[in-house]
Amino acid sequence: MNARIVTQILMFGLVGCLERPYEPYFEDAADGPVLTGVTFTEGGGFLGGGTAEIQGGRLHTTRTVVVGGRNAKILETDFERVVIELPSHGQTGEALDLVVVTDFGFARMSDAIAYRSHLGDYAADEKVSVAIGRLECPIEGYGYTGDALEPILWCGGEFGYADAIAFSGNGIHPGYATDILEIAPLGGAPPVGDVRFFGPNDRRPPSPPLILGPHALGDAVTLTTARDFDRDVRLIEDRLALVQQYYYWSFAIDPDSVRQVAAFFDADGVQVGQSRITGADGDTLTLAQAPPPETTGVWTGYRFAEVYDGDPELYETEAWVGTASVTPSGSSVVGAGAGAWLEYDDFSGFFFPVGVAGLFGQSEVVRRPYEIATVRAGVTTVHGTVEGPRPVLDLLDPDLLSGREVLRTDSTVEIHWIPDQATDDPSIVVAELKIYDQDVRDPNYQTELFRVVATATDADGRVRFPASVLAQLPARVENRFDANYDFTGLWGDITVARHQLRKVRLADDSGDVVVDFIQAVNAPVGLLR
Amino acid sequence: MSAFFMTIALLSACIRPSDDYEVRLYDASTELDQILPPGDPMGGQIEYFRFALNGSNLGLGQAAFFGDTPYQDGLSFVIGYADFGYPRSPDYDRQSNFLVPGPRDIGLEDACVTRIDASGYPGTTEYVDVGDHIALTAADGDVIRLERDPSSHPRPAGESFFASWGGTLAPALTDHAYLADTWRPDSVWGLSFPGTVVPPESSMGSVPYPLTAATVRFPSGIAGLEIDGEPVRPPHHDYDDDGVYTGERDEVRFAGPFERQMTLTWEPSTTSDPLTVSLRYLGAAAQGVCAVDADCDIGVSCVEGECIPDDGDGSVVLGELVCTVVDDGVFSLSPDDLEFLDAAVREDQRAGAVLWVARMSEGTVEIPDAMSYVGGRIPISPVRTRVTDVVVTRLDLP
Repeated sequence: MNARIVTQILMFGLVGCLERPYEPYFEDAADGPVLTGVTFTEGGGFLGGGTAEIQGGRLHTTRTVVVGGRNAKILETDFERVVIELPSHGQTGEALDLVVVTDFGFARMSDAIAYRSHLGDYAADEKVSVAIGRLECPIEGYGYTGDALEPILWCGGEFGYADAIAFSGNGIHPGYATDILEIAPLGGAPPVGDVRFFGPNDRRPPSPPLILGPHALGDAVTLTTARDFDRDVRLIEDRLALVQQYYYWSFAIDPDSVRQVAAFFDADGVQVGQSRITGADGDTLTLAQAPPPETTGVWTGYRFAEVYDGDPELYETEAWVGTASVTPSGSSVVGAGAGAWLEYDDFSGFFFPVGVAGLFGQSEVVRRPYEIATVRAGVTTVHGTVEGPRPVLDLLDPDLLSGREVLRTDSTVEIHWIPDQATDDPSIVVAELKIYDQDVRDPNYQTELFRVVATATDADGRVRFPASVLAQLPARVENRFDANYDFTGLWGDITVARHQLRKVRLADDSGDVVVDFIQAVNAPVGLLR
Repeated sequence: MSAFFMTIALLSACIRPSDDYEVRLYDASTELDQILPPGDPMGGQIEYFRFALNGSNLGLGQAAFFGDTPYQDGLSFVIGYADFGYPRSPDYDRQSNFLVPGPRDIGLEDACVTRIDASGYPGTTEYVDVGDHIALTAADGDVIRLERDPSSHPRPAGESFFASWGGTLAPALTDHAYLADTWRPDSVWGLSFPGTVVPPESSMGSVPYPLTAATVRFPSGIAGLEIDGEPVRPPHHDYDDDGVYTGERDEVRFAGPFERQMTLTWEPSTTSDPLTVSLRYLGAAAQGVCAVDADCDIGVSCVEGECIPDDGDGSVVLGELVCTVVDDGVFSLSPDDLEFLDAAVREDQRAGAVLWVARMSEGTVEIPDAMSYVGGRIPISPVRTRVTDVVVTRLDLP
């Protein structure tokens, strides 16, 4: 068969592919709507709630309005305009398309509505999202058992923990660094200066859409800075001072039992010994007992015993606040750099901290320059350096670390902190007050009823929950335990988080690495009106 | 020459609209009355289930999540799931993300079918978006929302080809002081979605118009369920009947029909919806690494460095016997009923067994036509709806 015949056969056959299997959805596009403009008021930023007036023609039969893929509530329609309530939307840096569907067709206006981001265009090119931070909590949380207010909840002598996570997607995810750790996320917060109330049946803010990036096991995102064991020891002292200030049973601590200690771990994460810390100098930690030669990592912290009726053995507390990868050297260990080594997890598509024996220590979050690098297919690429955060949020009031605060909701509640605007990068504080029903057995752990969220710039030094908003909450939230010391009834909980943003340009100029250094405090709070 | 005719034959395939083609997939049975007819072509599926884990060592793996531990014995929860696509597929009618129905149209006689692999995905070409949520709305205004995942289409949307609704867990609530009901037996709820148009780069279809006038019916609850005279109840581990801490396990397990007849009894409903009873053999799956048993959860043992559930993993279903049962208050299974299941699932692979007792309210809804991403009109009605109340309990393998 010659080529000409084959060609003719192919041409003949392909004619079949010209048949459209389906009729056009709209018979005559000329009958469809026309969009000529839109004006809008932002209202709640990404939380929605503002209004938009869409101008055009043949709009009187509008049935559906979509803003950036989210459905808008239609408030008014006539031939030349449609008024809508703007929907909530995950954080994004782009202007959103507007689609109007009428009985006779649909029209699209590209880049029609831009929600104002908390971060302006700072994160508009965010390709790699990193969140790293410390969340402080009271060593004990108080609740009522009968008429007695008792310290039942145990957060631990660490007074909190550190955590980190990263996402490197296939595309740009503006602002996602501030959502990813789910600690008072910016994506769920109103614009700076505003407050948003969510009732029990109100829709909660959506998460942004994500497309996983092509990564393999062994890929990593790293933030590294110099190891300074002096600083790590000061962190231990700082936590011990909090113990003296806040621990209900601190009167019983035997002063002679208080020890700064290090626990040694081998490469498999198995603890191979412990020793008292006797000194620290830069990257060298000196110990009372020499670490075993197989030591590759240490936890640093403290230990104390409480004495009741002369018995020092009854209660002993250990708290581990620092981690470091180390090399033994006589009676010392020499630490590798501090920071976070976030390794790709192919099950979730996120990057999680490796830590030492499963612990990512609070000592890894420091005010020092961090070098930011990525590891891909075994090749490490350094992208630049960012300034580290102030490690903790210096909260002035309420005294959340006491674990027994009660907020009066018949007046405006103010939260104060010491601002820390060390760089020109955005620094935003979000306060979230939540009320849970602890009597519901919930597959997601706790059943949230109410949420009040307020936002401020760090420089403001305060954020407010107005009394008019708090009036919508139950009059009394006691935080109560039942006879078995299980939660019961309504419980209040507050989180105050400072998001300190930093960024560097990826070495291949394809986008930015955006880092959200989070410093947060979370504690139970009672409410009374 | 044969190549010529083959080319012609292949090219002729272009000269037809895409649509469903009936391919009969027979069940794993040789009995004529156990061969199910094919499902009807449908353009989507909206499911809403309440689970009650009334037995020992039961976890969220029962609800199609990966892994069972930590166990959630005694928990009641709800979960919905929906997706849409074209061309219409019988899978939307026949398959389920949670519980594939047994034989339909049983009349006055119970009927069972054995399935070895009931999993699968609808054979659609393109998925369809119907808006950022699906709502079930009760007459008193209570709303259950199944939110779309993703919440909006990623841009650029070249990878936007799939969306689903629901897929998240919520507590089963009725008459809560603040929260809307998430479960209300014997009630009719409005079913709606807002409609949407996808970004031009997306390869999904969309339903541009809202659905407003459809309904689904929540079935009656399953009341008074007993197995061989013993109530199928939520265990209360660590606490006695008065809620006082004891620290002891409260095992709720049944012998099953493996060696002798097992009889289920319950209170027939006023609606007489048949029950669906599924006996499932579960396989094992590692739930983590360990050195000793204490590294694993209760009910899970450390076997060669891995935490292996003693009673199998609820998300690993090796096979099931599914029966549609007349709502007359009594139903029995005997060892003979397991003949095909036992023949198909190797004994050394069976790590556990569970029994599902469900009351299922199936229906269909007509929805506005879908619009393909190139603007074609594609009817995808009807859409299968399925609201189901399920009690899951534990059977002890011999």
